[in-house]
Amino acid sequence: MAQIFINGEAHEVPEGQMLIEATDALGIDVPRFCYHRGLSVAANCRMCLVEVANRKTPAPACATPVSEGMEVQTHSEGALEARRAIMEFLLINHPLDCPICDQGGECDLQDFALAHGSGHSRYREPKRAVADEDLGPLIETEMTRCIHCTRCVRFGEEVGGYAELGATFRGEEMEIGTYVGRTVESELSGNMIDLCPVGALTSKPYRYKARVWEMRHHPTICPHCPVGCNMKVEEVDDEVKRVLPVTNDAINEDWICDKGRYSYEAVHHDRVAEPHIKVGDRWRAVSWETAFNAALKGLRSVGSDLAAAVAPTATVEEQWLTQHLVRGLGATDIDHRLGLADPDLDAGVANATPLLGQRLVDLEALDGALVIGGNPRKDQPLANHRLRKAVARGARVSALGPVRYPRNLDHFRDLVHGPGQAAPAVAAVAKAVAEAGGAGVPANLQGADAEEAGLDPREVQELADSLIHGRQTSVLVGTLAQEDPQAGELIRLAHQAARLAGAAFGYLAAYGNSVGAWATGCVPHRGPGGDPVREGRPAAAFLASDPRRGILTLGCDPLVEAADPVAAQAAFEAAELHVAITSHWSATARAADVVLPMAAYPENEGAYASGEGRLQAFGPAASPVGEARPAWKILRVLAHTLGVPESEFVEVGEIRERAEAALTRAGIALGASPPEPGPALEAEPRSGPGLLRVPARHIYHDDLFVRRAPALQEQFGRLTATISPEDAAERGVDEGDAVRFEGPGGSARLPVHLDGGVPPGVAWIPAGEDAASLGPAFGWVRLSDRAAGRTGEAVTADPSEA
Amino acid sequence: MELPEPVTRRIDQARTRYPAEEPRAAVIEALHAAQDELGWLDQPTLDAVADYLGLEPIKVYEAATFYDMFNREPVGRHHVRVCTNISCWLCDSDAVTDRLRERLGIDFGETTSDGRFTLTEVECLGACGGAPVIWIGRSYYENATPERVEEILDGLE
Amino acid sequence: MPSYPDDYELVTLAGAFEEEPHTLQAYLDRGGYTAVAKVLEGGMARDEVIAEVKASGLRGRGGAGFPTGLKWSFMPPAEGGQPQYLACNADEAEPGTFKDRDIMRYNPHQLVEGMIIGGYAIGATVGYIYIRGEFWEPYVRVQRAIDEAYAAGYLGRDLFDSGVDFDLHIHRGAGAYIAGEETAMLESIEGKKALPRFKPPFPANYGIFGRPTTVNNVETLASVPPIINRGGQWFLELGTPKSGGTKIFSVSGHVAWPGNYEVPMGTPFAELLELAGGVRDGNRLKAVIPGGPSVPMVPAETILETRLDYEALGEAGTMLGAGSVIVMDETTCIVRAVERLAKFFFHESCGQCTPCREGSGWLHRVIHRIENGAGRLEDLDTLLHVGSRIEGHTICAFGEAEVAPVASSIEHFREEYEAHIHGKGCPMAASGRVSRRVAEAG
Repeated sequence: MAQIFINGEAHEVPEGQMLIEATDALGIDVPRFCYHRGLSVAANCRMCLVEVANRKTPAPACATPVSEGMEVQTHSEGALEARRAIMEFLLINHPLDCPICDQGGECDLQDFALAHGSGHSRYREPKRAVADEDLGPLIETEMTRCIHCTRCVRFGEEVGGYAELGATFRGEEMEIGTYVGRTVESELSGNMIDLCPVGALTSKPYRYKARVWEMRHHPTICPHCPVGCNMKVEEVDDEVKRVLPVTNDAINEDWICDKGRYSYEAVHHDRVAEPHIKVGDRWRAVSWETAFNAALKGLRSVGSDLAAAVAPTATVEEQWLTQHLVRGLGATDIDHRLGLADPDLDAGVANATPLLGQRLVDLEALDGALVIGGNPRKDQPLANHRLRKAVARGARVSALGPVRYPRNLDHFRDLVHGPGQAAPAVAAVAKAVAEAGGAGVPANLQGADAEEAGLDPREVQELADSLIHGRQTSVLVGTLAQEDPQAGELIRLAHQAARLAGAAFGYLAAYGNSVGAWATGCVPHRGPGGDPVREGRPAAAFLASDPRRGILTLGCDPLVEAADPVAAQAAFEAAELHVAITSHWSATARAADVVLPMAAYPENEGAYASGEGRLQAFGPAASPVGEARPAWKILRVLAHTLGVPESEFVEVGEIRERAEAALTRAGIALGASPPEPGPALEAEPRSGPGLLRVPARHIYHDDLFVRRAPALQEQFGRLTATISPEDAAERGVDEGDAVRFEGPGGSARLPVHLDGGVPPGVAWIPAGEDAASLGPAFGWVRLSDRAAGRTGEAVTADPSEA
Repeated sequence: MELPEPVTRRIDQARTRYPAEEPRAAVIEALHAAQDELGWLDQPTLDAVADYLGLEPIKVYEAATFYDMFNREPVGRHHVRVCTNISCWLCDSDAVTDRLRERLGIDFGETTSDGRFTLTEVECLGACGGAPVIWIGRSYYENATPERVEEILDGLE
Repeated sequence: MPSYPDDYELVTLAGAFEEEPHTLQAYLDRGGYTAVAKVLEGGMARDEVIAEVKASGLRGRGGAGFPTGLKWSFMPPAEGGQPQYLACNADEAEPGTFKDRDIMRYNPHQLVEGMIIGGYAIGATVGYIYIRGEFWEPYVRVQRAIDEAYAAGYLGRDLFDSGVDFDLHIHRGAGAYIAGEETAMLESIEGKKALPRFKPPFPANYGIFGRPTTVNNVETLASVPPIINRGGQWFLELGTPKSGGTKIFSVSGHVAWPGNYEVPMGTPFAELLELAGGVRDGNRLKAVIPGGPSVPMVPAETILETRLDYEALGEAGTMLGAGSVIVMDETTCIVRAVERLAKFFFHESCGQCTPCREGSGWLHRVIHRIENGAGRLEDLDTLLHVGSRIEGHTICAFGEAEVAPVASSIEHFREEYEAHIHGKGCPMAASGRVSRRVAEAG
């Protein structure tokens, strides 16, 4: 610690800290544009100039390390004059368009101009004007307003991990942009808008939608991924206008990803605004009473011959209540793991609650990690951010999976195994760890062979070493691996590798409340808190070959999201009754008999359990559109009316108490380790005809809500099949060609992208609407040959063409 | 686009001057090499340089737009650059630039319609003992006068 | 042609009047590479080298005038295997400066030898010479010298069987004045835009690729071999007690014989002017910028009484800078001269920090307006006030530099500005006298 004097008062501050960190911590106001605590120091705006004793010129607080005895004046005449000088310079080329600027009311320049600016300008020379670039559907630009603080540029490089924006040209002509008018593709791009201290970068979907001072703010929790970012929804007159991050250093710091930021638009699109029943082939909007009666009649008729598919983005209250209803009716089939392709997971890994096994902040302190079968950059962007910070500290983070994803952090080893070799590859890593540890190779790993799994043995060895020789290391099972047809085996082998390495074991869960769904009993073999129940069958069965007479879907779209959408289609067709509780129209809703409109997350109240085991509650930001109701109220009515005991809930809190108790019983707590999976067996490869499909989802296409958010869908473009240049050359396929793929369930024509990160023998076709017709997500597909399938011209973004 | 072999050869050579993990250090030399070969730097060339060095394209764009020597538009066969900074101006660079404009029929920043000449005003070239200075290709022409301008241009293809 | 008095000793331009002075053989004939041999074969310790340079009073010849020996002593001891760097600033872009070009053209080996010694002294095993991209001939000559030095074993591994390694490379710039700022040069060597870094950290702690680095000017480094050979005291005594050695003054503008003149520090300006043949055409001297446009201009009556060293020029209200003496005679329109310099600074501002990015254009536009007859009296106070708001508020010294010609010209030649404003234009242009040579006298 160093003693320094600020404005004459003595303070103890950490030695080496920058002055602005000290003043911020002490609550002493020092204005700034370019400094941001989450970014490197640029010291270019000069707004934070302060006077330091014995220095000839004012010093930038952001770039001046404190030292013992330093005397600082933050509000002396000299400091204030420096600020007036900077404000004058910044304003000479800044347009006076505050009345039409979306930043108005939350603009640092506007605020500081009020505090430090002059009432009139003596600048009489021509002003600069800068041409705008189209940065895509998410970011609006008005670059004449730019004050060149370079926060956005530094963010892209330092946090986004890939520089897309830069500062081109020189001097007064310096321009922030991509130089070539490219769409900014970072999944974190919206944070640049928050960082922009002026109105140069604003939100495109929010453009001219509201003025800041009119809006009310409602804290909320992001439903999309297990990080559970803290956010706020802003609305005017009950209409949701935008979503912004809320700082939480333990979770999302100052950031959120674009999915969390922009998905709110779905509130206004393709909503089910009224209850509907299907009469013959036609939909009829009806009253709640009519709809309830139809649903109740159907449910009474099917009785216990009922299955329920629950969204992993539903709240713990909705999840608990759904299983309460279903099990109260004597039914047993309930699941939230719609994409799980391993029907035997529950037999092999009784409890695969996808806890991270550590706190998010612990990730950044790791010095070694292995992510198996996942793409945290897109699947859990702000968990990936912690891994990036670890790498910046020198950590060795590796990946192992069926494809090499476009990364934004430097992996120590980024290994791609051969098609169908997922389990043997993990076994080879576990074996290498065992060998390096010197404690002998367990029997089940004796036959493991890196080369046979398509890996370089030397790289496997290096990876193993990095896991053993770290002070703190982790093995994390990614989203894709958790749904693999061999998920159970992958999880057990990953756990074995972790144990052999002395590493922590955890999961990178797929959705915002996957953990809650496990703990509240939305799995067929475990009740709330893991209580014993009469065991049912998983979604892989009841949404496939073995349907029930009745199906209840809550907030999900199995006809897109199921492990085999084509089989799910057959299951729905076979069912007598399908009640869909949903916020949006979808293929599944359209296949239902009764559609009950539910509140979307910004209209909802409830809680999610995050991957690190944190239960986070939130309230509604707006009323549900039309006649929609919070799902817990709909479920309560159904349960109560159908005579399920203990269903007389008046407030959501009463349900939360039960859900929370279940979470506690299930051992869900901050940083808790996931339950131990069973012992691993000898690994077997998968094989089949054609190319192995890897269905890793696209960030903007992986739940129903985000699929209905227009700007994100524009950013997503079109579902694309990525194959290796080798396979493409063999079949005469070029980048952008529309190619017909044949899967076990049917065919789909998809634009092709070539990427050397996809090995020969693999087709990366994300699960999604355009690919549902292929059938099993983890199936084997064939490319129709050039003559049969290719259209000959490049595909433009025309979804109707598929 | 693939960079021509003389360009990649020069880039490879430049790379040897810096630590292997610092490919970006070779950007300026890479752009010189590309421009020497291709005359100017269009976007595909910049992207190819970025790709060759394994850099994000924006980093190459930044360098290409910051340094004056890089042409981001096509230039004539002879790029005539004339200094008008203080020492040259004191030695009557005005007369030189007047004659250049008159003879070529173009203003600063323009290229003759036959594509032979581009005329550019530049800052101090560091040869003020021989002011005014004209710079064409790799050569400085010092102590320029209107008469010298005629001789110099007559000597170029 | 100018002729030197017999007792002037050429240190860095030695050999400039010989035929083919740039070749290794010519340099060896002048006693080249004996200094580095003295250091490495003779087993001079690093500290001894630095002490000798300190004793010489050698100060940075690029403009800032920082004592070279002291700068070298800031470098940390080299850690095992981790590189440290010596960078030579050959970006020479300060208007009116052309001395390093001649050292590189006529005496490149002395620079190379100076760098080997400097590299040894600071624990650097790699050197970069940052040559501005426009300099082709100097680049070719220095590259040839480097190649010759490698072939002769003066560069590379285990020099003089001392176990000392030194590799030397040229890094070409591409046209940016600011790259001559030492931290901007580090960025440029890393392949980035030449944006000055804020300090601390200083290059001696965090330089090229984040490693300890020292940046020295060409003339500075070329001064080192004679200092080692003949002793720091010898060099010091060439000049004044506080400004040791000789210095090349690049004399340009309105003199009969513009060119480089290497003279002892402390030489009276009048003597230098005489060496350069006096003011052209017998005109009267009006003003001089003695160290390049980054330093204040001074009127004739002041400079004619001033000696050319750090202290005397400081007392005269200006600076030695890079020794770039720009001479302006009575025909010069000061406003137009400053307008051109303001345009230069506007064009060369890197744009990184606010006061310079925004202020350089403001200064230029106002002066441009005055020169073109649209000035207002209050503009002069605005210029001075805007200047004062730039100075002291920027990341690098460019802020002070861009203000220097504006503030000093208003201080000394305010009436010329006022004449422009009152007369709605340039009075000298009207009289036909501005900037045109009256006649070429042979």
